[in-house]
Amino acid sequence: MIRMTVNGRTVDLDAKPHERLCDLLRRALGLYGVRVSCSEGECGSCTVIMDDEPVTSCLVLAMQAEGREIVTIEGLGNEDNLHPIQEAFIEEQGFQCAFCTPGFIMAAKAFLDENPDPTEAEAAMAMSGNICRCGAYPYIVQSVMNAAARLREGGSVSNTG
Amino acid sequence: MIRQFDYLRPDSIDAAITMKSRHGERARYWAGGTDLMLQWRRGEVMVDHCIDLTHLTGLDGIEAFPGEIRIGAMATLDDLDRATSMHPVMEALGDTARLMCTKQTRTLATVGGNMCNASPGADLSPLFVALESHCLIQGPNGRREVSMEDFLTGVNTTDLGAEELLCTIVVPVPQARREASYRRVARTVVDIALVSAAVSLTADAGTVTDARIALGSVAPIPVRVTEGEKVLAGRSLDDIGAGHLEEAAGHAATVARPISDVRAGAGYRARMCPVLVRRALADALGRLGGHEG
Repeated sequence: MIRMTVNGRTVDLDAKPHERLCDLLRRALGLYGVRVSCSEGECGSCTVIMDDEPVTSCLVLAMQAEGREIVTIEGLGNEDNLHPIQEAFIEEQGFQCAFCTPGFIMAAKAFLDENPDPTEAEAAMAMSGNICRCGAYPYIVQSVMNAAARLREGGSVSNTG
Repeated sequence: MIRQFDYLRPDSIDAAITMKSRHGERARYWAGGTDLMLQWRRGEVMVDHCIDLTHLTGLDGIEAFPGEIRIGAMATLDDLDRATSMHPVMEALGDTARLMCTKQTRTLATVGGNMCNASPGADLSPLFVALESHCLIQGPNGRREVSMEDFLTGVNTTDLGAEELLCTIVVPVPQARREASYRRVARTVVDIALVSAAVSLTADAGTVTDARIALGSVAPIPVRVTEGEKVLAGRSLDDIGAGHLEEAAGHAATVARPISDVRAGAGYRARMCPVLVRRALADALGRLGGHEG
């Protein structure tokens, strides 16, 4: 059994010696927001936050994550209480099929925690570790900028109300 | 096919080396794992025992000592990016680390792992060579040092013995001013280098006392452009003109031994070598206060 913190909860998990973090999070905790696509660390869809840093969880052994603090998309918000970054992606339509979206949002979360007031160029560069096969990139960058503004204003829910 | 291995977690460098000695060839040191995970999953590397170095303490620091900076082999590329303010040579290393792979991979990938994987296209290797770096290695028979030039021996091969562990990369910091620069051609920001050049220039009292030029991605290991270095060494910063940079860079074309592959043709790579050397030299010279910078 290995112990780690996942989405604020301390959990003891029965990880296999060769198991990847992405597989453990999906298998043991049902966190299917961890999307596994390329399995080569290229596409960023399996991005989770480990000790405040974004990582491609397909490249991490579960055993390497022992004692670490993991946050997945499920730890950000839910349908009734969306995180400002999730609201921003909805408002700016920062996705089409949305398979890549949890990875983009987790990368955006780690980026905005470090740089709350980015330029568009910085936001685009920060998203360069994620691939969107639908090609929604301009809207994704706008979503990150929108999210940055929301977070700077203290995470206000919407600018429409 | 489901691949499996046993997992071992050493609590010290000595314990890791003992584990490697006991389990032999199919035991592998596992650092960030960003290369090894893929090689193992593809069946290119057989792993029966994973010796996980992640939880070892004391191998991931980047620290300044008199006359040198010591980079722990387990420091990540992201750590290197964050250490740029330590010294001008660290600025070049951090700028280079930031060009590599993606943020999500830089937070995992280690500097030592990058050197041990020994890809001919590795961005950091020509720069470490240009910076006169050396490696501190520990093995069953104790510790030893080897220059980065001699550490890298071929495509994916190093000077490391079967049980040895790369612990630290030492970057010397001379009393005189030293500036380094790295330039590359890559298709996109997250791509690996098609061809690259790294330089370091050291100046004392307005004169270049040491010049080092190394090419990447044009041979199995980084290639020194020693004839080009001689053009600049001993010259006063004020005297160095565009012609000298052109002449020094020109020697790059004669020592490069590029191959053609899916990413670029040999001819293109060869022609880009002098261009990148000139750009890197101009950048380093400019920061030293030379006119041609």
